[in-house]
Amino acid sequence: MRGIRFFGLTLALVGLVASACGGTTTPGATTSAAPSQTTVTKDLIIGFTASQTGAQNVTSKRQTDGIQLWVDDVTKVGGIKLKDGTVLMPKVKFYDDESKTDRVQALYTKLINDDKVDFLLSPYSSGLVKAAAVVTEQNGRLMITAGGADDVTMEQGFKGVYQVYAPGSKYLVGAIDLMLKLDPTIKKVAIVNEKDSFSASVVAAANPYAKSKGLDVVVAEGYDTGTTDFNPFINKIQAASPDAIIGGGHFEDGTTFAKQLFEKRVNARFVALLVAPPEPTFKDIGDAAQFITDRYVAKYNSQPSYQSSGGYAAGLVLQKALEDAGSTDPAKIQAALDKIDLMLFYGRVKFSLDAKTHGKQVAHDMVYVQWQKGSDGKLATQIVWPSDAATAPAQLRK
Amino acid sequence: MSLEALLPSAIDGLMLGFVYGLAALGLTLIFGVMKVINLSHGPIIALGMFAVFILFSSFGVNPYLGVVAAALVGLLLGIAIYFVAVDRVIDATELTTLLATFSVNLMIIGVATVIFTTSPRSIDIDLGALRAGNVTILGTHGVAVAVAVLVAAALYGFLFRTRTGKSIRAVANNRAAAELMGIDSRRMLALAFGIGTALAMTSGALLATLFSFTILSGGTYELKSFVIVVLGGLGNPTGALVGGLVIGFLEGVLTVFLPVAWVPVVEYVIFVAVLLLRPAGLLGARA
Amino acid sequence: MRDLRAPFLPALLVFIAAVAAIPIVSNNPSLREELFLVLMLVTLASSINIIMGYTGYVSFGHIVFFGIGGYIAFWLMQTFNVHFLLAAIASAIPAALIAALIGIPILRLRGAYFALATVGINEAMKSFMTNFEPFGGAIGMFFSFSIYLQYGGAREAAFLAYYTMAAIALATVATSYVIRRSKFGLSLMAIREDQDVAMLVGIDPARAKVMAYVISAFFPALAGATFFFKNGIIEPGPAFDLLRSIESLVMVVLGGIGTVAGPIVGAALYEWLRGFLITNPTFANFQLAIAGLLLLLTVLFVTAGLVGSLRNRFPRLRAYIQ
Repeated sequence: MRGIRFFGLTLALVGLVASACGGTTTPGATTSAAPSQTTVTKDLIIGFTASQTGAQNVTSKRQTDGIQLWVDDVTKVGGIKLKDGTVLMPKVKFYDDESKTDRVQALYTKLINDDKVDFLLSPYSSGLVKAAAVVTEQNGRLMITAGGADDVTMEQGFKGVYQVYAPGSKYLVGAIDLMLKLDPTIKKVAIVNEKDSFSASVVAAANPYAKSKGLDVVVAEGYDTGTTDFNPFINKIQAASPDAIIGGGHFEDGTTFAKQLFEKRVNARFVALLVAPPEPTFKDIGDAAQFITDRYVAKYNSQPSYQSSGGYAAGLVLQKALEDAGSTDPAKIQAALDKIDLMLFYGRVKFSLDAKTHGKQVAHDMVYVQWQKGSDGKLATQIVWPSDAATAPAQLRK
Repeated sequence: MSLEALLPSAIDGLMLGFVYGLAALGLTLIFGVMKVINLSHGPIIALGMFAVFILFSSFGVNPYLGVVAAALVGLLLGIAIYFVAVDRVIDATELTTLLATFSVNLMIIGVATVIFTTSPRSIDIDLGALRAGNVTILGTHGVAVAVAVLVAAALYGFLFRTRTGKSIRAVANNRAAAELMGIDSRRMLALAFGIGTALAMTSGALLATLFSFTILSGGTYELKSFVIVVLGGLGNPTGALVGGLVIGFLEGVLTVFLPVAWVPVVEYVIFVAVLLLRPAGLLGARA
Repeated sequence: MRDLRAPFLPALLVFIAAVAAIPIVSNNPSLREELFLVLMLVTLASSINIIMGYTGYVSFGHIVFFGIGGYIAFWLMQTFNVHFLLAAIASAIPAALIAALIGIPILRLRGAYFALATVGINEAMKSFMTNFEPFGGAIGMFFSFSIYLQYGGAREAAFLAYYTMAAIALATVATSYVIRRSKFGLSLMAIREDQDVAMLVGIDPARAKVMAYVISAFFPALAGATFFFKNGIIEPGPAFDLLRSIESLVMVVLGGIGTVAGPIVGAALYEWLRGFLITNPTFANFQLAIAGLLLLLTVLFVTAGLVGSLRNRFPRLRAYIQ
């Protein structure tokens, strides 16, 4: 193991650079409530389901943490202050959805009709978001989605669903650009992805894009959620000897895939995987990855991950919409959400207004991180793309 | 399709087949002796994984010592499960024993999910690897095969050479007759259930040294064990071992010719076909 | 006593219909969702009871028909914009045909072999759907929201689904009762007790078993069509969920295997318990373990289930509760 033998290029938070000048874009900090009015403090109940058990439990927890962090931060500054003097104190109400779509639907119905929550955020993962969206639309409610990135969900003509994540179609397209910029001689690519809504929508965009760039897709395979043995795929990849490998899915599978690629000494020069690598524990797989301190840790004093910042950002978007609307009237908030164009620590947020794709995220872009060995010999994530946000140049395997 | 992948895939598959075979051996032994399909097989495999994981990560115990510990825990756990859930309904219909063992499944998964959550875990062992061309044989996989072979050999030695082993086989063949011969059949049934459980935990423990896992991972291997057991003949230990190798090999080789995701379809179609055309399995039930 | 038996079915149906009407009358959508699920489970459990309770064949992977019905109906609605009710019926017929086709060979298997074969069929179907791109592969299918417009919108569609599920549950329970009281039902129970003897008294076991299997496949297919119509989304995992299959067996056993009322009681009880445990902070985490413990206690000590033990304990009740 001399130098950087293997390396994972990975997706992560957008605009961590923006977090350096953090705070200035936090809507709560900039509002000025008219002091003359009498303040009325009201609870703002925010409902959602979290996967405390089942397949999505790790990443769902991050998202819940992110939402909770936002609630704590807002509470610390005294709540969300509206122009009419009302102060809203956010409170969360959530249930365990067991990562199952039918539980999600039953629980969102309960949140809306029994608990009478004021606002809804989404569960984590594209499949569950879809299920929740059906219910919120059936009940004519608004929902800001944090954990759903797949494109198709947002192309159904929803009225009250707003997407914070960048649509899946964007996720790996940038990786292909980066790769070709680093090494224009790359010709053969293997695409191996998880077969779930999210990863499939990523690949549905990335595969034709790769071909349009003149790349030869030598392996195109999908693996089931929960796969732990990637050797069949790796044997196929090795036989096809591609220059680059892109794909992945969520945390567990991505980590294992990277580890096994390393164990088998796959000779690809470039590997880009979805979601898994920004997780701090990704480095536990050893030399297959490489180490971390990112400013985000210092700032939020919690382990960063794409999902928790997604949860936090969903809260901020709601807060901004409430402040802009100046009331909790759903119609006004909807109008405010339609108009939103925010730059958060998380990246830019703006929604599509087209009837068919209403609420789809149109502004948010992805950044790519790479685990690199620092001068102290430890592994750290560095943002390597897009170039104006980069903290270090990307390194290719020699 | 590329034939270059054939050799490494076949080797990978075959090696895994040994561990699959070991898991299936546990299932088939219990069925062979007492006609019970053990639906807690999957969670027990997962417990084997976690036994090694906890010993390794909390107490720094060598994972292979952990495998031995898992086997011993499995033996005791299996005997306990037998007396709690199976003994009372041993002569009842299939449905009753299926549900009784399924209730154990629910309890294990329920309690273990509270303790371990469903987060993925892995044990990092690097034993190096043999590399030749496209073929990479990881040390961990090699050791897993060796352990599986040793355990299977030990089981055969026990069943065919020792008095207790022979008594278990006698109970399997004809419980009433065995009792007339003065064999305490209840003890033998409990012991057989314990050994079956120990085998399942051992295979889980070995799998933990190869792949990452969650408390729910056992389910996959449980279904695979069903396929293998049926292929080799329900209740036939040799069949389970051979079936394991066949399924492992097929899994490896098929991936070269099919998209990997289609392999389970083929597996289950074979499974149903064998049940319909040769319900006794390829090697015949209960050798 | 015979005249007293007659009111059992109407009374039971009126009772189910009355319960199903509560959320509509009281305008309680949350209760409506809960009851939708309960009615669906009543359908699944009562259907399984026909093949398992009456005939003695443990159909472990019975959920396969629920999934097939759901998939075919969903595909018809999404691709050809077929009306939901038509699509539901159009999906249950092929599901019943498939049951007839696979039933002929697999019902020759006995005991554990049959149970394993049904698991295999369900898993084969699930992994096939995972790869079958016309039905959306692993991701499944997702309605365009405009589909609900022809029913007056998404909210109205949810009501339509509810009424339909209630009708399906009523039909299943009625069928279950009629079979139990019929000569056909008697021949099924004869097969359960001893197939060879049944043959001697002139029953054609193969025919009767396949008939029972087909009937027990028809209603879950309808339920699947309705469930996924309301969900607006169908994926291989939830459609062919082996755990749901096993849970339906548990409901039958809890309530009382082979009785008409048993699966209804079992389904209601099980779902109520689950709902209680999962929203209760103290027990939420132990939900599965507690469910397992209750199942074990039932299997070990209350073999006949609730309804069955009542009937055993108070023989006079046998006239009133089937």
